[in-house]
Amino acid sequence: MDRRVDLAGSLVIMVLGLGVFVTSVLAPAPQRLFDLLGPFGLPAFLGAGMAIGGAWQSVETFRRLRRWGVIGVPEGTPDEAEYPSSASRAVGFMVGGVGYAVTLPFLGFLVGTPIAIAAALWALRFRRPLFIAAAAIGYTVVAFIVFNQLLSVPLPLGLLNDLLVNLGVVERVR
Amino acid sequence: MDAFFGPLAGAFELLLDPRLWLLIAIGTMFGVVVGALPGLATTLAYGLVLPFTFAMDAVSAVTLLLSVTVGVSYGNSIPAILIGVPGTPAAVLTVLDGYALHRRGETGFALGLAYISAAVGQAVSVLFFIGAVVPLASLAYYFLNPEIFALYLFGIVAIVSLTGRNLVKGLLAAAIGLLVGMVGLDPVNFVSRFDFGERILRSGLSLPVVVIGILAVSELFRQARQSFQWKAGGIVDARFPSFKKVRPTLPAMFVGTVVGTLVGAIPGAGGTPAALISYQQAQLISKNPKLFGKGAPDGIAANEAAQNSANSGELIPTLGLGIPGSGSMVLLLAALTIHGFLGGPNLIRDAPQLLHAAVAGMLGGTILLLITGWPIAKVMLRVLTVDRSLVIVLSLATVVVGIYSINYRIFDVVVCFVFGGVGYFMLRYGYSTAAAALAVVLSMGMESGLRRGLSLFENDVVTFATRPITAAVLILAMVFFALGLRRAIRADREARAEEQAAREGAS
Repeated sequence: MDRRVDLAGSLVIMVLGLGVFVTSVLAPAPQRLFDLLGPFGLPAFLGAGMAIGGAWQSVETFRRLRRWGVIGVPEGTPDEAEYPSSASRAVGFMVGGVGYAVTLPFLGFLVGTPIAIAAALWALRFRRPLFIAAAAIGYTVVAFIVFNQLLSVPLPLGLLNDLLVNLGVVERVR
Repeated sequence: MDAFFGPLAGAFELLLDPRLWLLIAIGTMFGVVVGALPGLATTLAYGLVLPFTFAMDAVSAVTLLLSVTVGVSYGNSIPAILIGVPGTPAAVLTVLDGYALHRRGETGFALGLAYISAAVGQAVSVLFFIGAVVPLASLAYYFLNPEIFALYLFGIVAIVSLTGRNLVKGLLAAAIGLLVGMVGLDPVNFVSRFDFGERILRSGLSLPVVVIGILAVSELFRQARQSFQWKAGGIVDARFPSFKKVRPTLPAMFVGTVVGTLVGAIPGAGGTPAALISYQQAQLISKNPKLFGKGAPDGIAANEAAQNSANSGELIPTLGLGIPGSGSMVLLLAALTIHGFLGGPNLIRDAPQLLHAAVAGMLGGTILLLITGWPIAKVMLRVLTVDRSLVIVLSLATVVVGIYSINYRIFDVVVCFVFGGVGYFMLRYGYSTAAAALAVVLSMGMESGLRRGLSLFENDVVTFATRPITAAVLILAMVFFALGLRRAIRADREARAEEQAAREGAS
């Protein structure tokens, strides 16, 4: 466990807690209050708790960093011991996932999904291009049939929307 | 007696529907496959199946989800015995004795024992479940707002105290979850909070989206850190054990069933602690305690019976009190919320068909496994030849489509990934994702209980807190907190000793 990341996390929580507390305290009270706390009482309490807890955790982590160094005994779920791990790959998946979601309305499910699946498999060191293509396209087609055709979920079609509407595969969404 | 046999009769009536059996078959087989793949737990299985349940009625949804649980709890013993890797953490002790028996050439005995213990533990614990949850439902009339608040607070404190090594981090995770649940309209004044002027946030964040992100997507991100392939064994040839060989393990099986149901009923406990405790208890009563860890049949029997019976145990607080017993139960409650059912002591009273569905799912899954479990065990080994990377990526893709299908919003997919990232950080750095997810689900009910309760008693906090059931539950919460604090202090001491030892080893 990298204590610097742990420290950064606690500091973020502390700042978030402070932000919630200040926002709650400064929020205008409603015209009529039915209870002791009001709409912002509990958030203010939780924000204060997070600020104090985050500060405490930051101090503890900083002390351990000074005493024991950067790498510490994992407090969370450890990786499998025998294999190398890559935090940047996990972060890449997160960023890639959000990127995929944001571009979905433009690219559409049928174009964006195979690209995303292929990129993800390649990132996981899956090095069989033909199999990747087959898996990406095959999954996309099956998922489209199951969700769009059978379960009537209107998946975003983006670039292929007009073509599929003209072919009668999907109905035009107004 | 009617209160006990009523749910059983209701479950059997549901099981007359062939459509429900189809769902049970799909759920159980899917659960067995997920359980057999190391690292993919019940929570992830629920995360993958959950979006499909939104297109179903509540009874079908509950039946499907619980049959998945039955499948996972059986499936996780297969790789534990055959390749020495537990399918889920609850099967870790099955590895010790099961894999040892496999290496000695007694594969059939180990697999058969796991199969029988799973079925017995599951079937018998369903009866305990009905016996416990029905009286709880009758207490619903005594649960007003103060009691609901105390119950939800207890649920969160219990899960924080029992999971993770760092109590402060557990409380912070719960606080984050509670705040996330407060985005949108407050339950009393209907004032919009933390919406940053965005209309889309005024109705709050979708509960299942956030919970699936924190519990399931985070785990997939964590799995993506490493690229490797599961070890697969060769073809297995094993004979089903005779009753004469199994009979001596019956006491251990019974201990496992009872302990599993009881421990599973504690919020935050679940299958893994249930299995560990029953393993210890079985060793205490065993005629050959020294054999434990080296191929003791009693060890397998106790462990498997416990982790399977814990499924029913977890359902007791989930359906009886509205406090999810584990991460997967959080998702079950989220599914019920989507169908318009509010978790709480009134759930069984207002919707008894959900109790029947739960029993039908568990019993149906168990009956199906009794018929197919033995041949499946050998076939499941082939599942491990599927590429792990493919499973991770396609699971993520399925979650994305499933999340989109809830409200047809790209925003939900983005939220899911964002909370997947938050959950990933929590998983890596010791913040309890179960506590955060539980707090998200209980947040609105807890705040509503607190504020409406105060309003009901004219803001008299003393009267609020000293109502008998409220006071008893709050005291129980404090006891659990104290236990959690003691556990955290001990864990901290151990961590310091580990650090010291590591430094000395390095120098």
